[in-house]
Amino acid sequence: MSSQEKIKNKSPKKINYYKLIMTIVMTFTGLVMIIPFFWMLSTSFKSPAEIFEYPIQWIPSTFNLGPHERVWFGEFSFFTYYWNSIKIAVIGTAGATFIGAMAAYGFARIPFKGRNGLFVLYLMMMMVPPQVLFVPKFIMFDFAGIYNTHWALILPTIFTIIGVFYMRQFFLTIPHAISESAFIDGAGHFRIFFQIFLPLAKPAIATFAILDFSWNWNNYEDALVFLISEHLFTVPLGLDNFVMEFSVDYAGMMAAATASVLPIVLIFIIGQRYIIEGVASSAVKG
Amino acid sequence: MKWMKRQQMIGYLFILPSIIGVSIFFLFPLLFSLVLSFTNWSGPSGRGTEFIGMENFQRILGDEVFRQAFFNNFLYLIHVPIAVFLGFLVAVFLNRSVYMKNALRAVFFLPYLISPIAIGFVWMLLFHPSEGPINVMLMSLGVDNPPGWLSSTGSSMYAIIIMSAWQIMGFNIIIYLAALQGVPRELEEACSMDGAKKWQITRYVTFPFVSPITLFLLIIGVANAFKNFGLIQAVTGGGPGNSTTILPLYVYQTAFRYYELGYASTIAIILFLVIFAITLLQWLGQKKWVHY
Amino acid sequence: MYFQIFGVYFFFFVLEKLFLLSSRKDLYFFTRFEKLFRVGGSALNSGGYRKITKKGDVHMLSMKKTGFVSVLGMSLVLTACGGDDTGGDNDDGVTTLHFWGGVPAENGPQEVVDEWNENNPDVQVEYSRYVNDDEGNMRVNTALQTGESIDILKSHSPNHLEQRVDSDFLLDLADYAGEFDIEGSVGPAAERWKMNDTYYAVPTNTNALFIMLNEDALEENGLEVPETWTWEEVAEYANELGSDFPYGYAIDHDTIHGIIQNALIDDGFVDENGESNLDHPNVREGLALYYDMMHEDGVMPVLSEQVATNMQPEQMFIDGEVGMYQAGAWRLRMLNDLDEYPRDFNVAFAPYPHFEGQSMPAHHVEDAMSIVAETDHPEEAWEFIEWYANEGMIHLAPGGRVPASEDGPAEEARELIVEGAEDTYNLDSLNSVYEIENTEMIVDPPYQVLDNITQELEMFFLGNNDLDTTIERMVNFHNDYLERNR
Repeated sequence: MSSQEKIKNKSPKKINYYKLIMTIVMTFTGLVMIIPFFWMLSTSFKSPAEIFEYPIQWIPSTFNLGPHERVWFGEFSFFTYYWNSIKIAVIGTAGATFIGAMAAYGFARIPFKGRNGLFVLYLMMMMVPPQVLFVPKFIMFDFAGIYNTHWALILPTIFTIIGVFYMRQFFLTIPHAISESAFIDGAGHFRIFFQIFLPLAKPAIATFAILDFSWNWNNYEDALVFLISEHLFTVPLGLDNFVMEFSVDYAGMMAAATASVLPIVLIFIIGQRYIIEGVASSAVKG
Repeated sequence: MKWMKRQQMIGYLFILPSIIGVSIFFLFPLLFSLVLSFTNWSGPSGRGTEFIGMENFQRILGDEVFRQAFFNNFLYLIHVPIAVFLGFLVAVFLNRSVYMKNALRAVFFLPYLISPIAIGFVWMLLFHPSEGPINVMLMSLGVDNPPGWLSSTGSSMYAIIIMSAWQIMGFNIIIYLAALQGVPRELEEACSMDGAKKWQITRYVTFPFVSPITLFLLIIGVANAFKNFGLIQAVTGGGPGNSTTILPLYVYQTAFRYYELGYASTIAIILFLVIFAITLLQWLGQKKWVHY
Repeated sequence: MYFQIFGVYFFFFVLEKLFLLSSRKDLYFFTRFEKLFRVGGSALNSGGYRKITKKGDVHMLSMKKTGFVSVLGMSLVLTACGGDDTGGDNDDGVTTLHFWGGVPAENGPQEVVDEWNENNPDVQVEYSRYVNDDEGNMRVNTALQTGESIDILKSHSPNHLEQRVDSDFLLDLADYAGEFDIEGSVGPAAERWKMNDTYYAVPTNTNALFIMLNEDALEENGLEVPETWTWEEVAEYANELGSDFPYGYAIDHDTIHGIIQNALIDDGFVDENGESNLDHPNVREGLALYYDMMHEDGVMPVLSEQVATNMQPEQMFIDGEVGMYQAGAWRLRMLNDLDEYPRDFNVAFAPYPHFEGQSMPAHHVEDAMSIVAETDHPEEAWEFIEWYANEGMIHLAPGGRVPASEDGPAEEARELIVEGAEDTYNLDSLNSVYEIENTEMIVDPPYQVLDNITQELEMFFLGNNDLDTTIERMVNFHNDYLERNR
């Protein structure tokens, strides 16, 4: 019996009571937090006149499936957009997580000359406003021949700075004792990285992967500027189809936006297991 | 000595792939825009671009929109510590003291994923000056002249701050949740047996433990506050007047609406220096409160 | 302002102090924790560490697997992504022209292109739609720079066209137009698109400007449908209707600068000395009039409130909450759609108002078509443009577009723009809007000036700045701009 359970057994009622109240409070807060999501969902079933009604109709008077039909079976190939988005997000995230974790380990645990200076340079690069990167990036991509290919979106995301920074910070919270004992046992950095840090940092890696996936998935501006051919379009570009000339088809757009959120939520639910499981199941806590 | 050298080599090896990519995709473009900031590049193709020395920098001094955006940006920064603090609290509660953990976590993460258009739309309704729930509540609490929120220059930035804090909280919560998994239960339990109260444990054990992550969130938050403007663009477009214009929005307009890319680069360089200075301060200040 | 900065600093200051105060206790707990950890770590060194290694091994395996899969994935994608051929010619001698425009394909362009493709098997046109906002136009400019993805481009604002002309993206149409006299067939309104004394684009669409009136309400109040009117009269009408409607008069918030363009219609934005004309008495009069309508009479939505609450004047007009709505032919598509936007009144049309003794604004000619400089097929592109301007345009009529070229089927188009809801309009008034005389072309100031005007007007209509300050600030900004670009 672990010590935690002991505490529970000592005064089960008190803790449960507290937990129950907190659950209610948090549920309520959570529901407030996702009001925009409800709006998105309910708007996707509305007729145009109903969208701007005030006070808001949270439940549409008639469930109009038209917008969802427009998304999936209309003249736009949302299945293609989806496939493209998945391709870009999966490759980009896998690459970023791996390369980022490696660099993070280097910065966190290997003392080499100029490490701090280099890291500050990294932080500096993270501060560059993305708006100024467009023109030079475009010139480079055009030169390298990857303009209007998915590589124009994938390559820059693989070399993540925020990921390096985040995972470095997380690695720093892993006690030195663990890697030191492995070091004494004769393990090299590569072994320590693969066999100890990667499993130990599962929560961080899963978290970063989820976030990076959502950033890649929602990357609108790069896709807009660097992709021209329709068969290469991604889901966020697909949302533009619902921007009419002088108005916005809010119902259609929100139907598409709902469809676009689902994969990330799915990834989150899958990835969450690793976030939580992480340390709890390993022996670190001992 | 040889061993040290080998260590160094391995260190470089670990960061090499990242370094190469970062140089290509970040360092080079940054240097490029540094050069641009001394030119009069205008128009999409930059035909007839010339070096004009410090002219752009002089122009900034007299640019009222820049000045206003600059100050707005500092005010806007407030949302970062607020969101970090609230994110930490929610994460701590979500981590231990609730049922239905998984579902609740997903709920708190969701706002971070929703399209800015939907967010903007709903918040505009919430902030409605006369009929919005926020002002109705304020008035029933006895506030006679509730702020006009988005429709007045005095309060629009505060409305934006509330929205932004709300939006990035989901991100902070998720990051904190992962970090909290590393906090050893035994330690907390040992403290609680010593008679420490729950909030004391949170304050003196949990918080120091995740302080590197807090630093990360603060730095990232500040950087993003100077980089992203999606929500502002969707809600106010910088108005009314220039009351919610922040620097990245101004850079964007100057670059891709007015196509004064030389001048936009100049603003961006200044912007970059400002964020960097703040980050450096945070970085140097970390010794006081970040525990590794 | 300084107070706000101070506030931020204060916030950080307090935050830091909080951290500092507690740092000693922090340390205490932290050392305890570390000790605990070390003890726990060494005690479990034999069992625990191995356990990690074991788990690590499993993980290693799965890492290998994922590594392999991602490498495989990458190579797959490498082949899949491998460039996209946007070139012009196919092997079978068919020329493909890429045509970009801001009108959604289903609003007409697809039909135009389909008809052309059917009759011209050798020259096939593919339509791509871009969203006509800042980002969308930036995408167009980027694509133009690579030079191979667009052959024919439709620009939707003279400002955008100017940027493209200055960047040498487009061809001078004088070399291709031949018989087709742009100014002759479109009329003087075409000059809005004239650059460097020549045309790089043919405007194809006459976009009528008008004010929509709730005819039923006019009749109830005994008001006539005006054939021409001044701003004073607009205000009078708005006040009359103000008792029946929440708002007597409304405009789209992003057209607020229209009144200034209207005020300067005869004298221009810049006077003969090259100085700003924004302190023209008409500007003053127009702004004061709008201000009164918003604040004194309350018959027009206050600008900032309209923006902040996402007010949709077109929807409010249809719902009977607005008596008069300043718009143009582009809104007819929505009004024709009685299924999605049902309304229970008839609509009459009044021309755009003018200032006492000044000209009326001419209808905009828009949708200017250009040949992209990098195209391999300029002749074919011109052929398509000419056909589009004259015959193809008919497919865009249901969206309110009437051909600008006098050889185009304007009469037929004027019937089509109201198709489906003819009975709900006062068609005579619509026709007389199209026949207005004594018109002058509206000038579009550069975006910098336009945006500044919008910001200053927001401040003015909020009551933050008075009229004199507003005008002074607008004039100063404009003069600075003129000075910089002399």
